[in-house]
Amino acid sequence: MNKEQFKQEIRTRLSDYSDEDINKALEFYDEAIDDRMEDGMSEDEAVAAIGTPEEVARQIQMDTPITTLVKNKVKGKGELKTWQVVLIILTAPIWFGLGIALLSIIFSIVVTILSLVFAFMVTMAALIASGIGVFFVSLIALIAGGGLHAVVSAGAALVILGLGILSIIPVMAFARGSIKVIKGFLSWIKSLFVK
Amino acid sequence: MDIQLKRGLLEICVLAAIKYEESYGYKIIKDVKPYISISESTLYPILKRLEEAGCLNVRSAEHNGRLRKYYCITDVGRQRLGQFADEWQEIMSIYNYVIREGD
Repeated sequence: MNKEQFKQEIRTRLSDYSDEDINKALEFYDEAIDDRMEDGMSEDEAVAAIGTPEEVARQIQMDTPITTLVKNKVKGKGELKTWQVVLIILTAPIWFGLGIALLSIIFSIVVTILSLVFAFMVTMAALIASGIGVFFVSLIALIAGGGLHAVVSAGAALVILGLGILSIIPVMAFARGSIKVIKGFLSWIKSLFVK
Repeated sequence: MDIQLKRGLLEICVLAAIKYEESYGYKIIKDVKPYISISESTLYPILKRLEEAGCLNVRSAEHNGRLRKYYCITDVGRQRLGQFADEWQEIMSIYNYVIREGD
């Protein structure tokens, strides 16, 4: 790939950015390629040494805050024409509603996952707490002289406590997994705005 | 290496490369490369970030009939390097704790 192709490719990949941002980046890569050629590389070698246009564009996008990415995406290139502004205002009830709906969907997915985690944790805690509670009941039964009652309660306490303790490992794994899923989900949403 | 850690170290290395005299993109890469892997595609966002943070100034000067950008460290940039040196003391004592031998 020669220098012009390389620069054209970057220009295409960064088309959501302002002309100023694009030109600044291209100046930098222009200079980098010229410097490497001055150092004895051929044009193709110099371009190859810089990295691929994908990599160049990706690094720039990764460094752009998501709010700017969205703004760039929405704004597009150059000034909006009058009819576009009118259209945007006229269709506001539609896209505003859609935007809110989209945000609510994202929010509800995250909340659903988190409440599942919470529900499991509460169940686990309830099992352990009631296991301990039933154990005390059996102690009281023992003191009160109800031998059979005490043995049955103690057995039940052990079973409940055992279930609670056994559930710690899967519940914790589930919690960790969920957090990973949420993180992945949010970065996937960000990736929708990064080409 | 951890991505966040590398990002931070790259910024420090770039500042260190211009610590004594101004430098330009390709020279910074050649100077820093023996210590940490770096390419133009990673250098560009770093320079931009450092400039926005006021850690360096940029000026264009002619070189062989074309323009070349030279990067010059500022006081803020120097402070950043000093801060890194201080923090490193702390990290070294953590490191010693991590690798300590049993009795």
